[in-house]
Amino acid sequence: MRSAKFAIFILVILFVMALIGPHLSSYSYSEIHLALKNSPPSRQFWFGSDELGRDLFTRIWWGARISLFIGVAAATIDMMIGVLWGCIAAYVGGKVEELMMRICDILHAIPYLLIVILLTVIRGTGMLTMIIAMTLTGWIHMARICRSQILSLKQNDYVTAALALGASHTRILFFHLIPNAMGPIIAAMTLSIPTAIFTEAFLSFLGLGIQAPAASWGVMLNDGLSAMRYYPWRLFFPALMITLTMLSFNLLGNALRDSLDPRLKPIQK
Amino acid sequence: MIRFLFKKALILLISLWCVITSTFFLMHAIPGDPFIGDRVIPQEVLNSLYSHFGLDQPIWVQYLQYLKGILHGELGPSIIYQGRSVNQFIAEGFPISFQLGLQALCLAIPTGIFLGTMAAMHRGKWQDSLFMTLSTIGVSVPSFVLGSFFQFAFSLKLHLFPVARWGGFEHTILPTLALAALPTAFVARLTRSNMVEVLQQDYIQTALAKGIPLFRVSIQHGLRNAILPVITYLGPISAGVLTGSFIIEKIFAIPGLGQWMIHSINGRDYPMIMGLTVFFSTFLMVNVFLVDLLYTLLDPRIRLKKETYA
Repeated sequence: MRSAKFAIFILVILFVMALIGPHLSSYSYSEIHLALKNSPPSRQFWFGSDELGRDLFTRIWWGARISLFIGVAAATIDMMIGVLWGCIAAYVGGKVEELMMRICDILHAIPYLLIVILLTVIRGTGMLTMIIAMTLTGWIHMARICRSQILSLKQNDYVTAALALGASHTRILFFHLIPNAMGPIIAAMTLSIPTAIFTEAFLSFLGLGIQAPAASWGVMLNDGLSAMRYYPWRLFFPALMITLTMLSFNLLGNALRDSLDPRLKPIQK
Repeated sequence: MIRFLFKKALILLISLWCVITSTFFLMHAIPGDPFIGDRVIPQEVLNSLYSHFGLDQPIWVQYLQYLKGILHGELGPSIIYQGRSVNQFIAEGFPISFQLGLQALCLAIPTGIFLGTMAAMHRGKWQDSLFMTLSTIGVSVPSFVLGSFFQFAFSLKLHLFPVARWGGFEHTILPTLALAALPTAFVARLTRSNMVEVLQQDYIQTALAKGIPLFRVSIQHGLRNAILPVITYLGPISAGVLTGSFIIEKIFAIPGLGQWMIHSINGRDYPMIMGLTVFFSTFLMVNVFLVDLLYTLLDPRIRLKKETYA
């Protein structure tokens, strides 16, 4: 569980810095100082400055806001659609379930990133478009997990007992089944956040994401790449941040999943 | 089993149709005109351009013609590179991307299986934590970070490999490594969790009780059963390698199909984006289908078991 603690520690720092980071330095994220362009990390620019003399420290934490917001928003929407879809399919059963899961199969076969690229090309760039594109087929994994959870949970005696006491189906679903299925759902949601963060960076890297002067990690990486030879710090800081963030969410998600699945637990000594 | 395969094939066809249709109508829903830019083009020229690209027809006629073209393997023209078709770009770029992807997979799958098996055999010991930490890092470091780090460290600083471009085998080493990291980590993780489960089976305990060393038991009895589920993930893994290649090809300036995809996105070359999307999707979906087929042939249990979704 050491790794989970490390992950939580990093994530707390990250969230706090995303909130207060941009206000710690005296620059705004789009403030241009042409005379001071490409300066290395110093007391003036803590993480250095970019090709227009913008403060990278401020921009990194602005990017953290964007990346974390997109990650959490996409994961939450995925979860809501997926849980609803999976629960209804599993609870109703029969032909409805068959149909709903077939729709999942068909959508699942469509390559995720290609659909995301296509939609952003068509709808134009922007945060909302990105989130829509990511959630369009992103919820399917969640729906499958949720369905298999509910399928096994609804065999339990307490469901029969609740039915016998006259509880409505909605009540059984929302007060008995979903809360009990929450563990694996939260683990899967934690693991889908890094995917969303990666997708944002990927799109920005292709020039389809957040547009300048707004700062996202993908945009900064893309800028930094062309300047890597002479100004490596411009690549280093965004690369470090995005790696740390994805690593932390993955560690946390794995720890959550493993602690819920006793078969994968390491032998206790 | 025939029924199972038939179902899979049907899903493949419906998904393909969904992709092609939605791509087509989405592309036609974009406001604006591909030919109207900064230059003023006379109406007659515009009209002849429209009729050349079939844009003067009603949309459903265009749709049917597009479908017909795809059935014949024609993916349409490029607008930016006049006179060249999407098929030509694929013929040029795909072999390069394919070689890169294949090299990466050939490196990733054996390495991943080896690391995963080692981790499972030493469950709870330092090897396990080391390999699993490495694989979590491998899953977490995005390919653009890894690719640019390799380029910076091994080409710019140490001068061990060429910085970029495409040529001999030495040009492929860094891109292959960068591309292979993610699938290696993924396969290692998957192999480990399957292996851990298999090693708890009674037949493994029996083999161990008979005095066969753990290593031989793991390889001969365990691995056979543990790598089967890995095969089902070959489809998603190849999808990952493909999208990874967009980034890697951009970083290393490799003239593969991923580069052309990025060029067409940046130039808003809609027919080309459409054609390449259809091509990539078909390639990936057929891949997934073939993997399913392979899996059914390899694992006799799946023929007896009733199909499950999860």
